[in-house]
Amino acid sequence: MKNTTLFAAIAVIISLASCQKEFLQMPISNSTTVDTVFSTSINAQAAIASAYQQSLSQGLPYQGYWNSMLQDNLSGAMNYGFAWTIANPMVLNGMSSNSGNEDMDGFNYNYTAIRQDYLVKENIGKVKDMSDADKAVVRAEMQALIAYRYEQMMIMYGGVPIVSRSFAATDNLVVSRHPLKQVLDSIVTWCDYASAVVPSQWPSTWRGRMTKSAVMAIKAKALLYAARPLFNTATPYLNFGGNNNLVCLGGNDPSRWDAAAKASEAEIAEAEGQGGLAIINTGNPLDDYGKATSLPGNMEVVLAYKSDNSSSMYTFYNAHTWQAYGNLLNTNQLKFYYKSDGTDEVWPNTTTVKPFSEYLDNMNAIEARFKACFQPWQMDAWNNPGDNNWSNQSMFQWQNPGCARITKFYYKAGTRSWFEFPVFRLASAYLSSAEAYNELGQTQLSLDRLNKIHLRAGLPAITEKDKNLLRAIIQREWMIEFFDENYRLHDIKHWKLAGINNGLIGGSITAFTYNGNTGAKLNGNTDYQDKLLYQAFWADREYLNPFPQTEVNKSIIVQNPGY
Amino acid sequence: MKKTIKLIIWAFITLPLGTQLLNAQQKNISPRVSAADSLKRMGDGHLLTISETENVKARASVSGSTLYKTPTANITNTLYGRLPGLTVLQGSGEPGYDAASLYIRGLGTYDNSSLVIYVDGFQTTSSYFQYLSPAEIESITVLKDAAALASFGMKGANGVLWVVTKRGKTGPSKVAVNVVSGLQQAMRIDKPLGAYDYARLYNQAISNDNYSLNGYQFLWTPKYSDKQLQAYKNGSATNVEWFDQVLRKNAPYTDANVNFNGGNNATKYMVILDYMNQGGIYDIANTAATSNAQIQRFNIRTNLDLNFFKIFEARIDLGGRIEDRHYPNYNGSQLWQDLAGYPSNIYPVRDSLTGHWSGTALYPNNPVATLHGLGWIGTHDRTLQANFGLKERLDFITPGLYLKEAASLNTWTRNAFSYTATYARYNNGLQTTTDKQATIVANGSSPVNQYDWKQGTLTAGYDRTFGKHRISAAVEYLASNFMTDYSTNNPGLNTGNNIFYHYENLGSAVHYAYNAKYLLDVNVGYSGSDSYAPGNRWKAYPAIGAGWILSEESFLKSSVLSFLKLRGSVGLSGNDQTNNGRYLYQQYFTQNGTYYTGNNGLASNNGTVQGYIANPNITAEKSLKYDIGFDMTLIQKLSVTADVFLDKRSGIVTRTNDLLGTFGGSQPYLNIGKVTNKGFEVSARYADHAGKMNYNFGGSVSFAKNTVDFQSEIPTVNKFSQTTGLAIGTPVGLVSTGFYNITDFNSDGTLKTGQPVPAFGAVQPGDIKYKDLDGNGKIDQNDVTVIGKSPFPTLTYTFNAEVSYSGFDFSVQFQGASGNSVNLISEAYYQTVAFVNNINVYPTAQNAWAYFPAQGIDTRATATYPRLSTLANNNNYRASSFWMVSGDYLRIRNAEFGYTFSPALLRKIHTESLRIYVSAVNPLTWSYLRKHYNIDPETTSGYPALKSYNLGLSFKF
Repeated sequence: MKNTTLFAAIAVIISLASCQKEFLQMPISNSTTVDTVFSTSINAQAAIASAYQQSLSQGLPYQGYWNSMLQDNLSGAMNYGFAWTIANPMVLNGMSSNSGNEDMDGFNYNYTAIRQDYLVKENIGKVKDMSDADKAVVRAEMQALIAYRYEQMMIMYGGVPIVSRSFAATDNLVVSRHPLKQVLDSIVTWCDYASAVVPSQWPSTWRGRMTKSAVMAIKAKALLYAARPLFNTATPYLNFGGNNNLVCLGGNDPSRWDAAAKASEAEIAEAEGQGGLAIINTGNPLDDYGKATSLPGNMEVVLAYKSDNSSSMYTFYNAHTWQAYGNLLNTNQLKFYYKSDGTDEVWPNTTTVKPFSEYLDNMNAIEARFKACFQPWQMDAWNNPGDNNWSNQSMFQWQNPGCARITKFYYKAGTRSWFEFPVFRLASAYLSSAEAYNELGQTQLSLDRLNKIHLRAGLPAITEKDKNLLRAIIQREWMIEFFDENYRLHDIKHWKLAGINNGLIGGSITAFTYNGNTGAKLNGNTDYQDKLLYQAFWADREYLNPFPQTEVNKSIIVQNPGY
Repeated sequence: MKKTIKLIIWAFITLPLGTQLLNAQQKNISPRVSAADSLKRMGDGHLLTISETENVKARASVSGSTLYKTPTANITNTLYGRLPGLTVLQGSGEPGYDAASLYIRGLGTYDNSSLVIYVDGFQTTSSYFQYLSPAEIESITVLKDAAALASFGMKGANGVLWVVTKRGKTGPSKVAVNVVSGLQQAMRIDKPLGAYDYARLYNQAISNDNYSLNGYQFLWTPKYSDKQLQAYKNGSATNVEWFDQVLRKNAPYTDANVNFNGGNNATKYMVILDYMNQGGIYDIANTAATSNAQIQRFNIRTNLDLNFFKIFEARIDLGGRIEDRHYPNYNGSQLWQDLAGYPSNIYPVRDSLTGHWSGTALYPNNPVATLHGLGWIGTHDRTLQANFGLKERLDFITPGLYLKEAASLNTWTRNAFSYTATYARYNNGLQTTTDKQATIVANGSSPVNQYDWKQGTLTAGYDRTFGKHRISAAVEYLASNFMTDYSTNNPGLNTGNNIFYHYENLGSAVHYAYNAKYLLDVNVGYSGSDSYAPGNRWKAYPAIGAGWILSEESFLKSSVLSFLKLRGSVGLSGNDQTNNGRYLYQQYFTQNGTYYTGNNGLASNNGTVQGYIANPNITAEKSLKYDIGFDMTLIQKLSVTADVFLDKRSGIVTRTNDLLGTFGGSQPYLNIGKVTNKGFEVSARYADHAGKMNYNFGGSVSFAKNTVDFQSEIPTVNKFSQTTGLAIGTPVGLVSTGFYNITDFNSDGTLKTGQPVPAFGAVQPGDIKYKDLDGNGKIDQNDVTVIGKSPFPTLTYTFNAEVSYSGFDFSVQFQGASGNSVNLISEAYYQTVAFVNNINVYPTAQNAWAYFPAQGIDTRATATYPRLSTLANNNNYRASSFWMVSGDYLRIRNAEFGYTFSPALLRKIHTESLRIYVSAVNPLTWSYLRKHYNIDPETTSGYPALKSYNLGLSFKF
């Protein structure tokens, strides 16, 4: 009896204990874990898709937050939008390390995107049903996306911490800001590596992923900004003492323009050769520029943000939605546009009142690129001719001051509400070359590159030979050609333009008012004049953005000067 | 896991062998239990049953018969002040959902601080415990220190409530019948102002709102004319007191139970049948188409003890019950919001022109029609805990050795059903909403939730006395499998799989006494939880306790000092019940939008991104507890127990905010949080008699204060806004300095230079003014700081007295709490905020800041409430010191007066005992909130907590 009981008990215990290991195991799960995410190429595609979405979304209002903004809300090209946008306090009071940032997801999110890229790069090898060659391409794509994100960060912040892999939470995370030069060199190195591996073109179902042309565009943009005066100097915009190398390259080196020119020329050669891309020029300027900026997947787009993460992004661009109603053109940008004969328009100043008929006449006289981007009051949109969806009536929301309503990216879009934001358009390579060649004194090459874009716009060729005057013309071309494509704000800063505090980014921001200094009406407007909208804030510290105070408080990242 | 197997085998083999060796060495010892064991036992403990004399643990017990003195539906409401160290926070009084919240020694963690409940040796859910009848309960013990909790392993850190049900006793069969019936009433109904005051104050509010439109002048722009006001005053216009229309004064409560018990050495039984019925305070009858709030409960318990074959002892416990809950078909808390929020002048109960229910688009839910016109809903719950235990006394191997095997099945299911209708709303003869009049429809009963809990234990134990040595030891292996689909949407990324909870524990306890003076306990829990990764699943929690019975020492023996024992303990316990989700060691990837590729016909690619970063090292929160105490009895009459404790929590599962931005990932959950909790409990009781009068009185004080030492707080802009270093839940907000005066403003309505500008919208005279703590000229969220105490009381206390004199007996129990603050804006929004979103106004707003000299209104000097407004006011109605008030209170929880008939008389009618009594539950409360705001200090809004007056009868035969 006694032994039986004892042995029975022991037997029960042992049998229980032997299934113990399973007993505490997590049950079968329907969730995606690190074991399954890179198990098959189907699953890996999902991670790759997110890498693109996160990396290319920089500076775009894809989150569709109620207070999202467009970059040109800050640049003076359009007003700050509604009073509740995060642009409003930045425009009126300047950027602050304690509140909203131009980089809408926040500085830290750059590293979230970069982490996703590295995770794919590091784990793609685990995928079982993918060839080694394809895996190599994926790794190069990811490195290119990382390069893009760093290029954008460099332009906004200067030198930033360089992260070379996905960290574990337990790793030593102390990475301080790297010198600007090192960030630039890394971008160039990464691009050179990636452009050698990624294809020139993708099969049609995968178009939109990194191509050689796109990687070269990233490199060209980084080198162009490195050559511009803000960084290409020994004396930064504010003295940062021992940290000067975080905000400038430590000396004016004219050869940087050479590097920039070579990079953009390489991009043009690749894009127009193997890349199968071209500047659209059929001799119909409105149609050509309209398609180049609006038509999804057109032959001028080098890289686009193709995410439909949320259709909410488009609501900030599509003037049919309330989020976009607040955005209107300012006089500060309007005055850059040429008349279609290449001369300048005369607009009323802040003290003159002109009849509304003159407004209509003047608007009709402006160049085609304006017409592809704007819809003046009391007019149907030029870029969707005959389409009732874009008629004056259906676009009018309420009486507003502002030079014109914004219709860019919706050329002949009809009822399509979405568009693909062009991250790189081939036109930027031409203007980069034009800018760089002018600085290098190669005037003819500069004019050739500039006129490729200028002529496409239906304007008479530029013939200016004076370096300084030509520089101003090229800068003007950038501002016109790339309105609302996230260039103007940082171009003005990196050119260190003289009027930056006086009607460019800071200073008096003006727009048209109508009918005795009120908003425009649907019909029957009588007069128009230019009026002060607000005084925009400018301080020299704003050449570069602040890092968030919560990060600075961790004592690893040095705040940019002046904040 | 191999280690565990080995441990278990080792325990089972070595215990008997080792004791045999001991046996061989000490031949002349007797296995007889010591005299100490004959002393009163206070409930069973985990693993071992140690007499109160030799106990070194911090614990306190209360008997079921004491709890039975408080006739309430939910057993949690009988516990106020009954157990030193147990904080009981009263909740709603709604029948069926009236549980009080229970905490042992305050709050030890800012994560899940729920205590763990065991009934008859097996863990069970709070819902199972709540509706046990006190008639079923022998005792409830609260286990508080490391010596008592270590053997529970990962279930121990928050303390344990150890419930033991009644068992049969050897002797002739006995039948006991208890019936108690009474009337329950709301402890306090906080009613809004009537139509006249509403209209009068509304005029003030709307005139205030027009201040800026009127060029920053206080001009009277009333909505209600003097004539209308007069009509409200003399009752000729609509003035519906919604509370009076919807509520009745009394709700019935009845509990009746029969208890059969008896047995012999072979078989003992205890059978309990209990029926409880609690009605609601809504003024609505239970008919086919309507129902009051109501719960009916049917409990049956059969506890059997069997002895057979000399060595076997078996126990079979079946505790089952049915709960039926009925309610009007409307969200209960919304109804109370409607009652508080709907002004009295909106419409008569029935439309005067059509006789239909009134209702408007703005006030669609006429509270009276809610009771009559929507039908009713109910739930039907079935619960069973079935335990089986078998013990083999293996004295033939070595005296004192035994093995035990036990299994418990606990299951619960809930069905829901409803009888629903809708009604059309009318106002002034017109239908105002699209609702149609519809007759009642029965919607079948369907299952909504369930759980089951299977547990099994294997125990080996040893109990023996050798001369001056006494040893009790046991080791128990527990396997627990809990499956629930109730509230499974816990945070975490694997919610669909969060329905299984597997847990194992190897608990062991050794109690050693030398010479009945020196006591030593060593307890170890070794727990394995399925929430953690292999390698982190198993953790050991050792504890040691020691005691010294000083009164047994010859140098202290005296007639004054009847008993004195010093005790102390230190040790570990764990808490695996985090609120932050389970399987945190798994790296999840989550869906993240869509990215397109391709040109003609875009191909969509669903994205995945990494979720919160997995933490492979995640494990259970750890508690290191220290306790020192003494138990003392003087002149056999005064007994005192006191404890001082310190609980250092570490490894609280917390999302880190410390990682650098360059990390880029979603922050992981780490075992990094730290909390210190310390305090004391003192309880005393004095019992004596004077002639034929027996009396006793006693009381206890429990104090616990915690401090968050580390919580990975996001650095605040200013140091003074930080909550680390304060008690858990300490409120932060702006510091009010009174009201803006007219002199604070320029004539254009802007604040004068030097006045800090609030960032919550334009202010005007009469708005709340705040301190600009950081002195930057702006008042914003960066100026917040501590504005009060945590909502959790630091001090709870109780005192009671009992007197009996020749058959008559009287007892009273007081209970109170202090050291907490109540935020009126969050705890009693509708009673505090006036007019905003078309709601009503309460008397507290009557003395609002107002200045209309032409109307003779000027309260500038005496105002106690900011200027009234009909608009949302972001400046005034936000967390600030202005709305923080003390939550201190003292209540009489229970008073009872009874008469026991003399046994001589009863013998003639073959009755053993007969007692009749009247009792009052919660008859009186003293508190700051009641006095100044007419708000109950604990149940601040919604269905009120209840008081009751009862008549009871108990007899045995």
